[in-house]
Order: sequence, then structure tokens, then C-alpha cells
Amino acid sequence: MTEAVTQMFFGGWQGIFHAAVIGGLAYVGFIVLLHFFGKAMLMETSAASLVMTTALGSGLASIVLVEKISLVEGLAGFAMIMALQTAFIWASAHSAKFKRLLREPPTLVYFHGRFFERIMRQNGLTRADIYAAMRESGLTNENDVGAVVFESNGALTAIRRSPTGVYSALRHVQDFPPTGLSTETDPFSQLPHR
Amino acid sequence: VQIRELLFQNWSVLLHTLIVSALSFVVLVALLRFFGKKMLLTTSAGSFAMTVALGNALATAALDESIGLAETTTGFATLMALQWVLFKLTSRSKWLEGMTRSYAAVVFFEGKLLPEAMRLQRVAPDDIYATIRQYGYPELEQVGAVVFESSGKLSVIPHSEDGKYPVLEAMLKEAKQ
Repeated sequence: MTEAVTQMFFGGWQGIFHAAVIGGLAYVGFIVLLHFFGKAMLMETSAASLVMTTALGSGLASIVLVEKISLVEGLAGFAMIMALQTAFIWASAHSAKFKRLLREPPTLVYFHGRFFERIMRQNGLTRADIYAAMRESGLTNENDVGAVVFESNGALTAIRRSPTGVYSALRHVQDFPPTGLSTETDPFSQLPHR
Repeated sequence: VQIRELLFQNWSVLLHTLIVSALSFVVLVALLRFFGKKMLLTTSAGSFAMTVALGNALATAALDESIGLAETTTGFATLMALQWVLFKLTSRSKWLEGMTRSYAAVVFFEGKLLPEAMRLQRVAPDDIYATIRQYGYPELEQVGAVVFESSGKLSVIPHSEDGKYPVLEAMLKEAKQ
């Protein structure tokens, strides 16, 4: 029992050495790799990139604390994740098919007072989730909200109601403009960016 | 027996989780107070990963019986000490600053994507539009600029009526050259 208690506080000098020296070198290696691959590695705008960024942080923690992971293994892991991320970015910039595979397009779940129940059900979203997104953006009055979008990275974003009726920031969103739009003007007819 | 093991191993593991996670948490908070909140600053490269690493180390320490409090403390302290050294060095050396914070770049300006900057920074149009929506803008005309920060985050600056963007001046000058 006493041994178990000691273990709780101190698992041997080897572990301390690993955390201090290997952990330190891993951190330096991580910074160098990050510089080499670029800050695009830390982007979080799609589900894939968000997971990758989290994996990098989690990997750093594991190298520091888990004794059986060596420095070279850990750095190879970082390099692998970053290389994959770079390959994904490159591939989705060059092939629309690949892009669709990696980045589920954003979808419209709410527009001008209308909830799109079918899409919400498909994605397991409730009205409570959508109201939460509105509150998070500081939009307490439903009339201030133009649209709510379910983004590629799993976030819900509430967009302010456009005074001009133009929603050019939504042009890549699926199901936009919604059929039977209540606003009189066709949002797309006014787009300079078409 | 195996199923029993999956559900419940033994009291010592449980005790480890309870005691070590509580103490590690106290240590983490104490170290954060000591090194300062800049440890959690997410405006430079690597610091977001650093924040995740600290949280994850706490989880690993809580669940892995072979990791004691001393190792966890050393791990936390090593990460924070290096981060601290890095901060100190980057505030003194321009070269190191360039190494650790790749400069911020404008990728969208007054309604137009900037393809050259986007290609260099590897930002896709979808990233830019998603961020503009995240800031709640319905119309691209209301956006002055989108900046790809050195932390890997995109930030959105509202359109300025007089066409002046004091926070962007240095970057825009660079982009024109």
C-alpha cells in the first residue's frame, strides 16, 4: 500500500528526466516544425483542421508525460500530422471532389424567422442549439438575426439581419437562398461577387 | 473477469485518479499564477497547442497510474518555463520573433479576396467566408479586411467609412511592395 501511495507522487527519476529533457526538446522541435509547415497548421475552420490542431496539443502532452514515447517518435508524429494537414490543404485547393470529402459544406438552418426543421433533424440540432448560437453572438432579439449557419467545423454561427437584404457572406452556404424567400428582393441579384 | 476489469479495476487506480487529478489541478493553477496568464495567450504560433497540451497533460496524469504527481509537475513546469524563455527571447531578438511568429497577413480587403496572399498562407476562400460569418456579418461589403494572424486564427475588421485602417497600415504597406 505504501508503495502505491509513493507511486502516486513519485514514479521514479526516469519519469522526471523524461518530462524535463525529452519534454523540453519536444517543445523546441514542435516550434521548429510549426515554423516549417506554417501557421495554417493551427487553423480551425473545418472539422478536419480542428481535429488536427487538437491532436497536435494532445501529442505534445503525451510526449512529455508518457515515458515509452521517445523524442524521435513524438517528433515523427508531429511531422506526420502536419504533413497530412498540408497535403489536405493542397488537395482541397486543387480538387473540388477532395474538398467536399474533407470539408462538409456549411448549411443554412435558420433564415429570417424560419427554422429548417428537416436539415436540423438530419444534423441532430434542436431549436435550443440555434437560440444558444444567437445568444452567443449577443443577438437577443430574433428580429436582429438574419440567418444561422451550421459551419464545416461543427460550430453554429448567427448572422445579423442585413438592412439591405444582401447576404453575400452566405453565398457558399448550402440551400441558400432558401426557396420561397420571404424578402422581396432576390439576394443573389445584388451580388457583386457572383 | 475481463468485463469486470473494464468496468472497475481496483481501488488503487480509483484513488490515484481522485488524488492525483485533484493535486495536479492545484499544481497547474499554482504554476499558471506563477508564470502568468500570458502562458495561455493564443496570439502566437504554438500557444494554442500549448493550452491544449496543458489540459491534456492533466487528463493523462489523472488516468495513467504509472504517472506520479512529481512527473506531472515537472511536465507542466518544463512546458511553461520553455514558453516563458521563448517569450523573453522573442521580445529581444527580431530574428527569433520572425521564427516563432510568422507575420500576420491581409487575405481579404474591401470586398476582394487577395489570391497571392492566400496562396502563400494556404488559406482557402471557405476559411475566409466562414470567419466572416462567425463575426456575424451578412454582407461582405461591411467587412474592411480579414487578417490571417500569426496564431493561425483569422480576424475580421469592419469596413471603415473614411477608408483608413490604422491597425492594418504596416501590413498593407508590405502587401503593396
